[in-house]
Amino acid sequence: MIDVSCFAGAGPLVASRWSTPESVEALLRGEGVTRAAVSPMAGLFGSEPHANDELASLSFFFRLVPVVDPRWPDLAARLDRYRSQGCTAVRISPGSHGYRAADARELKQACGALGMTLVLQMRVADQRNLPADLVLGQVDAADAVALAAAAPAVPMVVAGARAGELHTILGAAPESVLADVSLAEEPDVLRRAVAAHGAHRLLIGTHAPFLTPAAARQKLTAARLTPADRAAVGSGNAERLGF
Amino acid sequence: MPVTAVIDAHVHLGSGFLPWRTDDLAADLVATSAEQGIGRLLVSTLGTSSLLAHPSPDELREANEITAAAVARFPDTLAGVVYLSPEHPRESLDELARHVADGPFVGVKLWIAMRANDIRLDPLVERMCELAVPLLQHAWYKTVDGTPDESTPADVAVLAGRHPDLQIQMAHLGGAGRRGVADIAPYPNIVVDTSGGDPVLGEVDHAVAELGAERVLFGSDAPIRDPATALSKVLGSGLSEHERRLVLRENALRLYRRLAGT
Repeated sequence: MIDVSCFAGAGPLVASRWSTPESVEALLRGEGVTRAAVSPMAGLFGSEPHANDELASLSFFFRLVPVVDPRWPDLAARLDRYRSQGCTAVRISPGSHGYRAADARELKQACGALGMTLVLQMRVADQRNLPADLVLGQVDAADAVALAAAAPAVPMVVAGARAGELHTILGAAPESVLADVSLAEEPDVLRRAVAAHGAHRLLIGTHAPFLTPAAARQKLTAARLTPADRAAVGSGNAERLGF
Repeated sequence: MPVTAVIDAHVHLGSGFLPWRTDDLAADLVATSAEQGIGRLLVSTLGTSSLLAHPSPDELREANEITAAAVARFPDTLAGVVYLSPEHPRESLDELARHVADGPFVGVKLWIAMRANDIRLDPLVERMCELAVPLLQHAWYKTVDGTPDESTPADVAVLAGRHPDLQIQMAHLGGAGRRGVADIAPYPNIVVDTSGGDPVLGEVDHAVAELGAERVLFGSDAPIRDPATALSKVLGSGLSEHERRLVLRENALRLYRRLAGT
């Protein structure tokens, strides 16, 4: 199983014992994850480029997905640098950074020019349970669809959508847009998503260490997919995107 | 633990939820849960066409009839939990008599019509104690999207202190958080169910460490949530096999004594 969405580093909401890449790797391996696309935890809560440097030395288990902000003045140079370092995707978190996802249209185009995938983080956590003074906005489905429609040939991954959002976005977006099921939940969630949108558009994301990665394994197992569909969702689609 | 041994102590019915496999919500809940090894579901209906925070007496009766009809169709799997409202004490006592004293239901559900610390709950609670039937009480610490009459774990703690003979299943560990666990810790007549929100890493381990495994029991809140994902909260925890058995089955059997006879 390839995890396309996890995080490492210190930050609010997660106990310190799960803050290191080593501890996250052990957690994920314990649930059958063989490779993981990881972003810096600090990149979700702040918009500083140096957050990506904190994960400069990772084990072969991980693929670094830097968190970027389309408003950075040196964004083009940073994208070139990340690509030259072997990164195949970058993540944006408009909700926690305070801009609209659709404002990342030019970034998406730039990702396409570099052969990179753009990962759109819809949210970090359940808004109802956040401390009142921790401001972490969310991306709404319409905004995600607007970004999906821009540069439609460029691959894009929607991470952290709720089930209803997932159906709305994949129903409206071009085939180049895939979604993980990390924060999507409804009975038979993955089976229904595959039936509605096809296995080729779905990915496994754990959202660890915010969530237990056992949830991703449970979703994949419970879906009772055909071997081909299970392989596509569990790892094939992620490999196709370079994760 | 054998397949079908898990008891899900927090499940809902009602036409406010759409079925996903067939045109039959109860059948879909039974089928999806069975695939996960969940063999008993404690079900309540919080409204007919939608979830009703302040149901009228007629709406309460109609909601409970939905539960009763489903339990009659799946008596080996579903066990009824009667929905009451302290805004309508006389009619709620009638419903309690109909479905618990004279019927097969195993528990009582109170949602968000009134905060759990309100003394207007007392007539209902006193009858629950006489019948030795547990209360499934909604609770959550919400930063946003709360409602004025919605209980917090602190409210539930007040209720438990006022009625030490009342056995309470406080809903939504995921909404209680660490503060909620601390609130209820001094009250041995409160257990917390594992429902509420996303499968947050470490949540169940913390509750078991603070309350003991005997005071945590599995609930999914299906069909609002996914039974398989809800189970991951327990399966992904560091609990021992003995603790898992308590959380997934034994605690529910101990709390809901009528389950053994249904």
